[in-house]
Amino acid sequence: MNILAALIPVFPLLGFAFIILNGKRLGERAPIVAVGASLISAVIALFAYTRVLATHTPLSWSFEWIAWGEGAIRMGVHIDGVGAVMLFMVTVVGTLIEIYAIGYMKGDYYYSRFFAYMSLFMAGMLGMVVADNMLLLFVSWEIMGLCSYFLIGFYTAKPSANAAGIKAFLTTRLGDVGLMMGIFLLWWTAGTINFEELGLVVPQLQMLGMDHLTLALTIAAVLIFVGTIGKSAQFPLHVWLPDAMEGPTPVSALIHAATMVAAGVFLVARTFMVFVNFPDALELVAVVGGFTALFAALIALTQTDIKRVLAYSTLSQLGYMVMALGLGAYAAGIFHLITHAFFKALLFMGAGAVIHGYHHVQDIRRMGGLRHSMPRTHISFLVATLAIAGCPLFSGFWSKDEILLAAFHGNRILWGVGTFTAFLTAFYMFRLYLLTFTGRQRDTAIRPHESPRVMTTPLLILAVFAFGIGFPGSPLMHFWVQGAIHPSYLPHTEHAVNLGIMGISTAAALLGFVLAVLMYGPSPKILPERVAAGFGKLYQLSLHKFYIDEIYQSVIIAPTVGLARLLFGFDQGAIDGSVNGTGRGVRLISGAARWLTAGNLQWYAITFLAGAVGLALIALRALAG
Amino acid sequence: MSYAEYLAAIGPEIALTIAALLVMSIDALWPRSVRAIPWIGIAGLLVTLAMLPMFRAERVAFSGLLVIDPLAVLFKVIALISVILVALLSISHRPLRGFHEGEYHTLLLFFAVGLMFLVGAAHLLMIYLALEMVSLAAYLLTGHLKLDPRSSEAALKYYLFGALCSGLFLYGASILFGLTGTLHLDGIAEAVRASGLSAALLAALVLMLIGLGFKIAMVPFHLWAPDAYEGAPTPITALLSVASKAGGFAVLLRVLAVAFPLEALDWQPMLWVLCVVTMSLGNVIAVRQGNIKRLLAYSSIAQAGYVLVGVVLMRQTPAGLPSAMIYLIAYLFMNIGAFAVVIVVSNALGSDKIEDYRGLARRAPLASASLAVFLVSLTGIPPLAGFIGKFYLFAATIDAHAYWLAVIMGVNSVVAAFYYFRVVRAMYLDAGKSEEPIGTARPLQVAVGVTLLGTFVIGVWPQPFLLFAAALPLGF
Repeated sequence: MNILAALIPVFPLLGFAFIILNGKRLGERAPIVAVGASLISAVIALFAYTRVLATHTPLSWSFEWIAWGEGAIRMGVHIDGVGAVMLFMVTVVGTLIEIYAIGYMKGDYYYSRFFAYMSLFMAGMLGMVVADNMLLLFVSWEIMGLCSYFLIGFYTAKPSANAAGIKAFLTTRLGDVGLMMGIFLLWWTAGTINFEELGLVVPQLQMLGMDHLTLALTIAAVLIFVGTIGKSAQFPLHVWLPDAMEGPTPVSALIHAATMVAAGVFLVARTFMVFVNFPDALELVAVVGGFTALFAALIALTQTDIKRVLAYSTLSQLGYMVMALGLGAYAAGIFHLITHAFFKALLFMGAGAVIHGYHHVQDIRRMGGLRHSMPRTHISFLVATLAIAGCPLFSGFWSKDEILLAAFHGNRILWGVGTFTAFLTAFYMFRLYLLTFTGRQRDTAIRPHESPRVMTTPLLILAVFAFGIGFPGSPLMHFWVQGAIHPSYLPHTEHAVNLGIMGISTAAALLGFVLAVLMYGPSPKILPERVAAGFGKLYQLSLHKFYIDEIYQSVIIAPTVGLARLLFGFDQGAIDGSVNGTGRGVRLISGAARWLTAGNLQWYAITFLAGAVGLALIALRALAG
Repeated sequence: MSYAEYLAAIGPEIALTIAALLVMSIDALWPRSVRAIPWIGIAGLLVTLAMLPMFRAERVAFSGLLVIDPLAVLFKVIALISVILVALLSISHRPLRGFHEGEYHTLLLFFAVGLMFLVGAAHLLMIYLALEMVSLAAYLLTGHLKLDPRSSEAALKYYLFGALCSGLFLYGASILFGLTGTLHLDGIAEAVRASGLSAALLAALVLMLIGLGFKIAMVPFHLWAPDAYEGAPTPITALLSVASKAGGFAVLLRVLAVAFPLEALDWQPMLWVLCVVTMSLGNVIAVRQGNIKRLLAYSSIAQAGYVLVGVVLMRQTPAGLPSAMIYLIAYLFMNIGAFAVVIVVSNALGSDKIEDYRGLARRAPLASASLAVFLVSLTGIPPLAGFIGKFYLFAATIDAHAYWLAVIMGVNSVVAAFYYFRVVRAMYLDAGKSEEPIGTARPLQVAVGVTLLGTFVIGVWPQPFLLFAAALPLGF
């Protein structure tokens, strides 16, 4: 069984190789391979995580990968509670999205290639989840980044898609460099990069109480967190995620909502032993998360592209998770990661169905009344909206409440920020829902239609999860999920359920809902234009995403390009001259040597003799010495 | 030990000899079965390979002429795998098609038999006999395309040099015999320890080094190699650059480690110089080559220089010998793989010029990708076999505090990257004259597949190979 667990990421990898090698022959049948590979992995994963969750004992398997003097590096898989719930989420959501993509991508010129990349991505994501050491995790992490780049720029004919792909690749690369340095520093300080061993070694190092060790580990934690900032699009490296919406919608759902962007959160949870005893590192994490949650929610208020609203909402929700980690409540953070994966994947797939059935229009100002023409999409989208807004009993309600509870006991300011963000979330999500599905269709030239069954069936399945997936982590089931993730998770005897906190967050969500209805409902009481005018500068700031892209353009990109131009001139003149000189030197020697070896037997014999004499001379020196 | 037991010790060699005779008789008696001949040969080689595990018990046979020890077994495996791959390459190499194939494959099998005796030989006379057997087969194979003047010229040059070198080797061996009164390597070691250093002993060492240096194309005894490599049928070029070299290394290791104890005679400085010169000159000259076979010829000279690093350090660090072995195994896969793709291209274009590789990626995407992988691996970039090989060689130099050697190796790797990537650039970035797709014959596909697999597996999971290589005790 344990060795089978190692095969979970292997099947999608084989699927990728098979599709990429037989693309032309497979054609329309490529999804069979991709979905089949994911299903096999899902079934194996099912056995793995049910066993881990039932027995509370991790599943691991490893082999000696490379021997190094006395020591050896082992390579393998380790599935504990966190890994188990992640496996469940990734295999279920991933497979459903691949099925959905069969319909969404139909007729695309690079149909089979799309499924090849999706399979490779699944291999990377599953590899990261089951990795038992930082190295394998990092390799999988990079595979995901590569797939993300390919898939964002999938519509190669669109210049904006290409630019977005490059932007995503370069921005996340900054985070990856941080992560890599963090791994090296950790390796150097703790002497291991195996998670289980780190769990034993790091607390011991901590107990030694040596300042330089504490400092090194804190820096390592911060560097690892830089990786999270890049991958999970936290402020200030968040700019790539909204642009990543240029990719096909199933990609946005899988990679840029449910799984890859959450990998940063998973990374912190995996390496939590490095963070847990270093308050400085933890505080940074919490503040970055809380800030991103609020900041992105403010931008989401004014966006009009259906996918961009969801993208900013993803940023905001990731901020929530990161904040939870920083507050030490990593079980709550992972729980929110899981519920978010389901409802946010559903939202994106619903948005994709809308775009698909609405002639590829993405501007919500031109939509309206789609609930009549797209009943199945509508109902699933509504469920997801209720879940993200924190409507009681829906999944998002339970997980968000856990985080806010942790914030209330950890940091009252962050609690305030979180609650306010919950209000904003409810508002912009209902704004989106109301503008898209209710009222009257504003662009009557378009004839909307419902998507095919292959797309709507996954939506309905996910809707069930988006509603119910919160219960296993709710007080109704004694926080079973959190207990599985974190064995020593206290069932909060004294503050397990704080009805006050729950009430306040519900009230915030309700307020957001009411405000949205008043502004965008069937009979608007408040005109959005008036509100926009009333907020003036603030409105402009939100609409222009706080000008972050423009600031980066003028502060970082333009000077860099200028410097590059300058250096290029210098390089052409001075450096290239000298390098070419060296090159020419080597070529000259090479040419001369080649001439000497051009097939003349006598010359060969002379060289030979000279070599023999040379050797003899060296030998004689040995004799003399 | 009875004679029957001696014969049992060389079971694999006997099996292979029978296979060779079988191929020869089938060719003579049923000329029409010529299509089957290579496959019978390959089957014989595979059976021999499968027999090796059963015949690996350590023993000394034929009164010390031959030994069966981990070193011999390891080299036999290397020799057989490379000959099998070369046989696969030969089936589809266009100039060899239908041109005395029975003769060709018989010679190939006898070459393998000679090689198996060579790597186990522990007696100077046996070494000489096996060396000659391997060499004679190699001369004939090099000149096999007798209608092609380049092939004949290559064979002639190779033969002339070979004759000179085996003369020098014999001269050295006879001096050694005169000094010590024995031809057994361990007997020689005892006598050398007793008598100590003398000018005659040094002369013997130098002469034998030249003879063996010729076999592994060590600079400055390499001059025959580029001509022979370019003129020989391409599968034979692969054979000379891998199997023949491996045989040379086996003898070099055995002679240096057993017959010349370091405390009596310090051969390290000599080998150090040879190693540095070999890798540097090989790499520098490769930069200017326009013919891919010549480029790979010089590259393989340089690669032998890297293997020598492990040999030089063999007594200073326990990591030395295993690192040389792991490099040799990695080199086997990546180098034969590269030659396999060269054959794919020359079958289609009839050319070995690098300029004809332009735009190859569009015409033969899989073959180009494979060649790129082999060249990247030869450069030593992870996660491929070549990286693991270089990594262990570097680790050995650091372990032995031979930092200068590490620096020189590093610089050489950079120079090598330049000319390997020139080929990759031609394939991927330059536009070609034609867009017509190039096909790959099935046996070549198998060979490329096997070598690719080897290159990747060693790169990603080297542990089993390391264990295999590290099974060699220092004094084997």
